Amino acid sequence: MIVAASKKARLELEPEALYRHCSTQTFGFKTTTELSSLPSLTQTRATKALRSAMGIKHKGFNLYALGPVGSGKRSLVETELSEHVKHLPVPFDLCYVNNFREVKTPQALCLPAGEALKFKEIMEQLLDEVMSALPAAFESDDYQARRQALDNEFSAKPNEDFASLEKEAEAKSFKMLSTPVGIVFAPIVEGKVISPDAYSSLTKEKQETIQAELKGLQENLQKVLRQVSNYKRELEQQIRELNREITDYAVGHLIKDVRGSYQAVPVIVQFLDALELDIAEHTADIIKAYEAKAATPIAGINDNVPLLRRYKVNVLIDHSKTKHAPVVFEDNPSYENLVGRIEHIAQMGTLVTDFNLIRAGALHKANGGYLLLDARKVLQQAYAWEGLKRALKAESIRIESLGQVLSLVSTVSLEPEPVPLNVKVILLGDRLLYYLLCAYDPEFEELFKLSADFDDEIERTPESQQTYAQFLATLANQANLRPLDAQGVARAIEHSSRLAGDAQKLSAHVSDLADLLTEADFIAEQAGQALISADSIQAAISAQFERAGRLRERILESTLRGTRLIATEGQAIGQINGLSVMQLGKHYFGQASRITARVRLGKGEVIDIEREVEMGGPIHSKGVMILSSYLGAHYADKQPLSLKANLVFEQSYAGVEGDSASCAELCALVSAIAQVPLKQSLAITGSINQYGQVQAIGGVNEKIEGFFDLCKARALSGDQGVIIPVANVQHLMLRQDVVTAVKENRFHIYAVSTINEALELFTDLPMGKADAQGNYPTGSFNALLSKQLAEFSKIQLELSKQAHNESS
Amino acid sequence: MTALLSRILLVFHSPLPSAQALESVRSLAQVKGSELSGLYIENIEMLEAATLHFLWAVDTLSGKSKSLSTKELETKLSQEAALAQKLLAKLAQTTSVNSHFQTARGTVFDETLRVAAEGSLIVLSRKKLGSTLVIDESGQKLLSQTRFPLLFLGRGWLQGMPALIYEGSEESKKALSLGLALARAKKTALLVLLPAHLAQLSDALPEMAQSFPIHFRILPLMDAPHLVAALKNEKLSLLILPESLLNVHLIDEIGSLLDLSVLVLR
Repeated sequence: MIVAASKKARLELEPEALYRHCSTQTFGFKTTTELSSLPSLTQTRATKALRSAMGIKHKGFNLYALGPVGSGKRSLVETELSEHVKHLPVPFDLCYVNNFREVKTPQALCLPAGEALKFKEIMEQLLDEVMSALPAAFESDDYQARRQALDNEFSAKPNEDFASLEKEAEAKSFKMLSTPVGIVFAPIVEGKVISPDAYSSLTKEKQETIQAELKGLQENLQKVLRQVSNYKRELEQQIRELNREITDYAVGHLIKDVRGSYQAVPVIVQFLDALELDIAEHTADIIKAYEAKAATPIAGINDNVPLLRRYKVNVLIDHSKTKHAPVVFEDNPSYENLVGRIEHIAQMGTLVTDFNLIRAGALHKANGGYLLLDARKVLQQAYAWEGLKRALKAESIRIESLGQVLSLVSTVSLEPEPVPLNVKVILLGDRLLYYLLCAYDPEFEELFKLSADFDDEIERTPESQQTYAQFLATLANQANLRPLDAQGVARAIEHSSRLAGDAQKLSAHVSDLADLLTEADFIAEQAGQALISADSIQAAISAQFERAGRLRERILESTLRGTRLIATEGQAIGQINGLSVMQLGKHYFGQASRITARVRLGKGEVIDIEREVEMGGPIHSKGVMILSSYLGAHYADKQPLSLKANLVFEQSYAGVEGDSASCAELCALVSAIAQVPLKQSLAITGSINQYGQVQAIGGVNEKIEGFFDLCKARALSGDQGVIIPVANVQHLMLRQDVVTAVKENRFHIYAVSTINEALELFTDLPMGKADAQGNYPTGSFNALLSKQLAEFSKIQLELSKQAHNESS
Repeated sequence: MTALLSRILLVFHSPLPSAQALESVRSLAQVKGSELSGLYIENIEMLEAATLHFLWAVDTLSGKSKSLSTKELETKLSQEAALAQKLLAKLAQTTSVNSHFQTARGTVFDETLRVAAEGSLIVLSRKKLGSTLVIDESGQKLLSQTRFPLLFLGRGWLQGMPALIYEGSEESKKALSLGLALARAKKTALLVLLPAHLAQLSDALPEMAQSFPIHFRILPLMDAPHLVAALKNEKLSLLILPESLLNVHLIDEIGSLLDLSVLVLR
């Protein structure tokens, strides 16, 4: 009794099912030069989220674009934004100027777009004019005469007061002496200081008179001393007023002209008012600076004179050439690159700073528009994430050094006026980071209310193939590569399906495709071709495959040399070829693994040796438990499962994970129980459920190719093949040599839905269906298996009775 | 000239001049290698006043009064004398000239006359009156009653060129010679103020000075306002006046407004 050939043929896949070709007939172009540009692949869900983010103006509606690296997140975001921002207004310019009242807190001026540079130029011109006009005014005879008069007046006054006091003293027969301990009024007689004896000989009235006069003189001296201080203050005040008057006369009209042209910008008018007052306060310094400049007329040498820097305008953001709202991508999102920084210059061995050394961060540059950041980089930079969140929450940019933020330094530094922030931040990152942030940062969801989830792959339809062709054309064009011909595009699309691991999908991993095109372009160049052809693409794919093939070849070699024991012909009981996939960086390859099962009398245990030695992952263990459940439910529903089975991946020295071997393990197990040999010319992959249905697995193409390569290396016998789940047929995008071998009937690929179908292929025995009494047809696999199980149960029962008798 | 600068007598009394003010003395001593004599005079009038128990001293900075005691005053005077000696020693050391120092008790005028030898340049500080420096009674007496050349110290020493007034007299010629020597030593130019009637000398003097850089200012009048106006924007170190312009008020006014040391040659 053997399985009918027709049944076997029904399970075998036709060559057409193994590879989905891309037809060039629907393309309608010969080369990609005929195609219009398409900067990014269509990602409907992500695009919708992105457009929502662009549309919603409210706080917190920032966006996290999540998807794997190379999935074209940035290009899609930039493409969408570049269109969107065309309709958005150009934001304000930003500059910092001195705060004359409080130098420590420079003033931020938000000016209409394009005005900051103009204002800076006007201020520079004004300063030049002030520096010329002020010295001229202060050197004028008029000013000098008035200043001289003031100096004379106020220097004469103390003299006069002291002289007057001295005269008063002399008139009262006292001498004013300047001693090291102060001024002393000594009574004199005949031009000499009176002696103590002479003083004692005076009458009491005379002494009292001297005492009273002395007291009066001392009080007058104190008055004069106070008055001298007052004179100084009065002189300073009068000089200040005179300077103000002269300044107003000399430069007032200059400032007035500038003020007049900025009447519509109140902040500038206020600044100019403060500037005018400050110039009047610092005329002497300005004149000194002017003299220094005149003494060393080398361009730039006096630029760092503090006084000259005081009146400068530090333009942080200039939108004079900007046409619309900005889209900024910050490649290095450190804390300072985000929120801006305050630089310092070394002067006389110390670090000093002023508002001219304030530098813009990415938030300033993107203010009024969009800021794109790589989420991982932001999180890797110290305090960048905290700084970004703080700015977004406060809706303002406060420039503080990390030292200030962390309270590590307490030196006096600048505290620039915060700038209002109106920016939409788009974080680009992978899914893991997104979910980690959601889980561990309570502020994240408050600030990033929207997410754009990028698909790894897109549907493969004739329409999407056409847009994919456009996208390939754009990639080639952007990278200055040769155009592709239609066949080249078709081959690239087919490879994209292979990368997606699905004949019905196309990979959205832009970077992988870009790398492939670059390599194909190089091959085309070597071949002297003007276009990237299908051959170039294929050669590039083969080169990539070969480059990553060292380990694959070593494993194959060790198998061929018999170090790894994998049979590809003959039959064996309890032994089967399972298939697994190994990943090396971006490359995957399949390999066969021998799985064996041994059975003996026991109490219904199936032992997964991989799990016992902790080399099996949880999913693998789950698969083994499921097959145990299937075994028990299917074959031992009316009798105890009186066996103990051990399952093992032979020669496995690393961990095993995944349930794709559960089909193979079940086959090996039932083969061992039924003592029915399995064909070694076949390999199987697929997971099993409790009802014996075979379920889809991953990496089907690599697994098939892995076993094919081994068989091919040993020479294809014509019996060899791979059994895969039916659900995986849609994923097949096999190599051409595999398809050709199948076409030539030298290799076979079977698609099965149930474990029974797989066992029939492995044993050539029909599985057999139980009749009403639960008996299977003679010669069927199930009959053999049931018989063995019954035998185990019988022995177990006898042993139990014997043990019971012995104990009683 | 040699006799003039062979000995410089620095007369110290309370209050002492600043070390910066003495820079003008250093320049002069360096140019001619003059011997430096220091004389600290403990003003007898102060000490006598201190014996009067009812006298109070008023501090010029705080305006506060405190009783005057002989002991405290003598201590302060001794400290000042020690400081003056140090100032002189430092000055002599840096100019590599001989020096000696003595202390005397008496009036400034009497003690200065007692110590001053013929031809000595007498260096005097000026009395601070309010915000300005004025020549005190002793200085006035030395100016009017003796023939000694006198240097009245300013507050400080400005890095600049020497200036002098040239009106054709013998003293003017001495002043020009000294000015040139100082300017050469300091590697600066020399500023010469000429009365209007001698304006033509601005051509002849450079020849005499062997093409040394001389700046000229021609003044219609040699009074204080004109001199101050001509000098105030210049960086000057010392002003040399000839005897013909000897006038206490002129010296006070120029010296105070320009904060200059003024040398009176005769």
